[in-house]
Amino acid sequence: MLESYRASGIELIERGPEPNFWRPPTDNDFGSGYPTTASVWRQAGANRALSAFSAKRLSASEVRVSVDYALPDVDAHVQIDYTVRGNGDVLIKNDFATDRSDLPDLPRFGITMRLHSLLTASSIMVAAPRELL
Amino acid sequence: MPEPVSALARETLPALDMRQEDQTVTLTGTRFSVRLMLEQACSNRTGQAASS
Repeated sequence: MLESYRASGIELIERGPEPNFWRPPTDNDFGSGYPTTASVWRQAGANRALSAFSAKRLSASEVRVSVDYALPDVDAHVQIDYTVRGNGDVLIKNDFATDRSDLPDLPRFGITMRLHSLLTASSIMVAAPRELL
Repeated sequence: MPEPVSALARETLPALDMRQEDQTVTLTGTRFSVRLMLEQACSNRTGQAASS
């Protein structure tokens, strides 16, 4: 996982990005029993198992680190590509794949990370699928 | 397919140094550094289970 990002000597993250498939249920979710029917997703990210880790230099100013996880809770895999650029950009691409068709609806597909408390304001930029790399 | 950084801009990006050790990749630019580790290595360092 991305464990550290230091800028000008200051650590910016407390915990790196991790795959996440869960969100807090709403009142409507409780009414429909969704927290129970979709519960297999709750720990799917946390229960991941690392299956591959590789780093590849793309150019003098770009490196891609790829991490592949098995998700035994849902018989699936997720691959996270971190493309780090010389200007400090870190692009994160998150791919999910499964052969199962009987899984309950996915509550959320994304990542969670914990930023350092020094960061009192931050912005999130998310690219649409066709805008990624 | 559009990219967040144009091809021209990518050619002018600062160089990125890469050091790869057994379980760690460290990437260093002019003003920043990024470290990626195998999760087992993170767990050993923090004393936490990988799934916590």
